[in-house]
Amino acid sequence: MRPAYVLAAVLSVTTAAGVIAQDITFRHVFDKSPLDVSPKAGEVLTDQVKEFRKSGQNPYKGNADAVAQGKKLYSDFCESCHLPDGSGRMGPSLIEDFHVHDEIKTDVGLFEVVFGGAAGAMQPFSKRMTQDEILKVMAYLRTLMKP
Amino acid sequence: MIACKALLLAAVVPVLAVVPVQAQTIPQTPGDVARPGGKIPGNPKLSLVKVADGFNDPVGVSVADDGSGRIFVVERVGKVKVVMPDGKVQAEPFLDLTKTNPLGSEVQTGFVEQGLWSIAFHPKFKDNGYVFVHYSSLPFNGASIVGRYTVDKASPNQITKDQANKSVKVIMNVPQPYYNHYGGRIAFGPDGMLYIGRGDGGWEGDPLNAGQRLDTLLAKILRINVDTPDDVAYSIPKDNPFARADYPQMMSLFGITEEGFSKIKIGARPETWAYGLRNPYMFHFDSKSGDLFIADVGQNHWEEINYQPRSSKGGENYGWNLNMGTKCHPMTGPNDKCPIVGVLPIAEYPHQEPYPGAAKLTDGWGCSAQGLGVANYGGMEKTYMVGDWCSGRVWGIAWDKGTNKWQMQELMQATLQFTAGTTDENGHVLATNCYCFYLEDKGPTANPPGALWRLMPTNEVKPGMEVAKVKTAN
Repeated sequence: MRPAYVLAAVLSVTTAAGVIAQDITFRHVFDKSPLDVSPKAGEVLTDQVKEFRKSGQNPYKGNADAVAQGKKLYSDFCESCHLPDGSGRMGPSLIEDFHVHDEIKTDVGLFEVVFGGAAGAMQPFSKRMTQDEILKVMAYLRTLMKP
Repeated sequence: MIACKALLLAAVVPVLAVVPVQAQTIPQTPGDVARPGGKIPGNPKLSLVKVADGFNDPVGVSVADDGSGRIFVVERVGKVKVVMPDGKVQAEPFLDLTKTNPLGSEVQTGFVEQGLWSIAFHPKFKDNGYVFVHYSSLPFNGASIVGRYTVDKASPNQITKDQANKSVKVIMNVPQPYYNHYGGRIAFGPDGMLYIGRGDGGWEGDPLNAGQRLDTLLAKILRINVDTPDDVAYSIPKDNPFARADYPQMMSLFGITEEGFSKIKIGARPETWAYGLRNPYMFHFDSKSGDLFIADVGQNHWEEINYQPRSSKGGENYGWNLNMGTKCHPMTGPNDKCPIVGVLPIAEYPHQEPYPGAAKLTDGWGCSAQGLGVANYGGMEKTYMVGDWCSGRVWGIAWDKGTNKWQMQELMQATLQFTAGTTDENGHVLATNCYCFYLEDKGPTANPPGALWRLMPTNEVKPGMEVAKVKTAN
């Protein structure tokens, strides 16, 4: 009875220029309800976040500076449960061929789980990181995960 | 430390589970122990309905059972909040241990397992106003304290600072070697005694061997009588299993049976009710039968749930640190061989990696068992509800007359990080969730707020009620 998973259900947004841009609707991994991705108080949406919302591809992927910043964020927020190498202990392994939520194989799915949370201790990290930071931690995560 | 003097005492004799014949109910072999994948009787369909939110790291919940309908949510920082029957949270705390001492908080919260964990109401609370709390103490360097406060009848919803300081009675102060594995919950049993869940004192692997030692209060369920004069902290119930194990006596060598000698345990703490527990953070009595369930938080690979019928005489050894669940400790692989020590659990569930090097599980796993309460509704009978801290899974564990076995069924997986539970005055199971955190911890009031939930039969959920996001297991 759950709504069908639509990876790229689109939301129409009219830009200042009057061009119709298509932003991805991000959804909670459990019930596919839409996630509110409006910026937190004081958060500025970077160009990379804006680009990601349209392309679904993480612009920071392979960017050495972003990966380095992502590594620090991973150390702050992720490794207590997933361990420094991503092999998991309290939280699941991130480096297997399979995942608890297979959605994380795509950047959109990975963002949905980190931003919106999944189950139990996998909290919505939207409460702790900006969306730009989440993209950076995702860029670092991709260096740990099997391709 | 006291560690050395009693290592002798710790001489552990691995014994195959010797339990009174409790009819059908306590597993005698690992094959009798329930694991995920079973089906409990009653086919319950449940939803988690939000009762109230806005709590800072809620890690405990209790009710007074005084007919007031109030629910008391314990915030780790050292406050107890009152949820009124209409769901509104009173702004002023019922009790605030961060303000009673002019030099700073009474409560040590430096590590996520430290803080105020539990409040328990005396069975005659309506008459005597006694409430008991269990927390890690800042002034006593992290020791766990059980203390009693008295509610002023003129101020039923708030123990003011003055009233707190005027009425406080320290019941117990247990030094803590490390910053984790305190246990936490305290609760009165159907016998009127106060039961205390006390963890093994921490680090990992139980480096003090507290689990198998009887000369320490660590790694136990303790049972004490708190109905004592104000100048006596507590007394030992005469029927505690080790009440007289270290009693001063003349040495007699003759005329005593081997069984008689075996009951002499020099150094044994008479407060002990059950031992061999790693971190019994949550335990609950079934209000109908008086039976006891204990959720013992496991180490790297397995969680276990223990059970005692009301008729238990105590003294059960649940095996830690020689076993975790039905497994060997330490675990080295899939085929470890070791004796089963003491009494088996009724249920166990794995972490994502069930043994070192195992293929990672995709389903049915968790990492930290938080007992929520015993359900006798929605088709369920004496069903222990357990929420997992890491995976958000909720399991029901119940005896199944059909298969003559304990069964363990995943009832749902929630987005919630479960911390604690109890049953409300109507018998519904309540649960708290927090957004507690290990790294980048900015203190027990800096995390996103947690909430209080009620586990209700789905067909009783009314429009307008906020229901937790869940995946329902098939």
